[in-house]
Amino acid sequence: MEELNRLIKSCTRCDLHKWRTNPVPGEGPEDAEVMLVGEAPGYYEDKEGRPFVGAAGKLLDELLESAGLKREEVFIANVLKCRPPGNRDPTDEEIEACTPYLKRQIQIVRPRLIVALGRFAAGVLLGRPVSMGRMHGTLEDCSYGGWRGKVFVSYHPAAALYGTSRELLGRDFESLRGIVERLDEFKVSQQMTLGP
Amino acid sequence: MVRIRMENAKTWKTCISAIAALIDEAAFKFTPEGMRMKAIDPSHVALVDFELPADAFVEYEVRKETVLGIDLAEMDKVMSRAKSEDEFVLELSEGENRLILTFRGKSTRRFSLPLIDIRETELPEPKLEFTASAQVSAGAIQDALKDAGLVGDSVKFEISSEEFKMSAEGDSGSVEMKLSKGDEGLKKLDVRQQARAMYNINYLEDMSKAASSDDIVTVNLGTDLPIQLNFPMGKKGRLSFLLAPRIEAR
Repeated sequence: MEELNRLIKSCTRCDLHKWRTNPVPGEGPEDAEVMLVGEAPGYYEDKEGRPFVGAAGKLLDELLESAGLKREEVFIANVLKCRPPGNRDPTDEEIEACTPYLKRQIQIVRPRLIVALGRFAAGVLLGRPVSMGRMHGTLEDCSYGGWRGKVFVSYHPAAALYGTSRELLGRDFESLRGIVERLDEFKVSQQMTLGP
Repeated sequence: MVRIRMENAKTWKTCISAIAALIDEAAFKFTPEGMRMKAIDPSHVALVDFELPADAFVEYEVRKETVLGIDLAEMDKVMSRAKSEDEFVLELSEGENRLILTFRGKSTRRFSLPLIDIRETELPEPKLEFTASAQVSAGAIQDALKDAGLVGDSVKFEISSEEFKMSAEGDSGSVEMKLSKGDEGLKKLDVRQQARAMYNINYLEDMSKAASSDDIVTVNLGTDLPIQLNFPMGKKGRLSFLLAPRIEAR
């Protein structure tokens, strides 16, 4: 993971490196059972080089607690490692350039469960457009970058700061608690590679 | 100059068919000692090592090292037109930067293929310590893969001092194939330590195309390590595949 973080920090594979203050590789234990994947760093994440800081990060900590999880026991990453200017939607080119890093992170961590935070992360992981209104709070089969397992779809914590009901988000994480309690039942496997 | 002739097209045709299922393009290195091609698939899950020494050919004229970039899908299409008993000649048309493939049977058919530029890539050389090895009938492996495909998309290999086993399970059920010491399909077992690992069936099915059902395949295994499948090519050559495992959650 150290080597991967070094690669991310020096990455120039897309134009986002020109605007970033700090890339945000992600953080958490390499043997975490649960991995959270968000969209991209925001203003505060870009300043600090850490995922989910600021108001959305504070809310995420509370939500994790309601799901029976502590921040220090989950691995937190984003699909994009650098902040798109003005928090605009990532382009296809940026996604293509950046997702090899996320795939490698998943391969290293080999989580039992991935929690997709928001429509964008869920769409990338599931490989199809996602309707959050219909799919939030559901557990989906996922095959992504050689990892095969379950993805729990939730609203992004920032959504509660911009209109989506805090209550809906809270309900997603309450149902996540039930799922986390039966992680051992999940069949998960990872296709390894012969080299980087 | 490169000009090689084989008594029949079968070996080349079979190998190219298996390799082309995994890899789009590859650099074939011809030296006065023989031919070698080593390549990895785009997702870095499977590695192919194909080697034929000069004396595996009826005629082998290579004066200096020559690397030919070949589009395997195109070559596979051409080779699929060869009859197994056709005599096969591959030669380099240097001025035109093309390969000429000739099949001589009831008639003589010549195909011409453009060479392609291939960027040299560094291939991973994983240091592997296999702890168990088995020589198994290719037919038994091919059947077991078809069986396993009915219930899942991964298959588990296990080698112990007593048996060679392939098994799979999925939502629709499970399946198991066993070869015990003394069974016709199991020629040899060499076990330092029992080993087991799981692999993707699609890759294995592509690889197993390199063998006829009565060929003997050497399977080298280590727990959760890549599997190595060695297919003998005549008495002197070999086609070897390395496939990374699928690993279950910690």
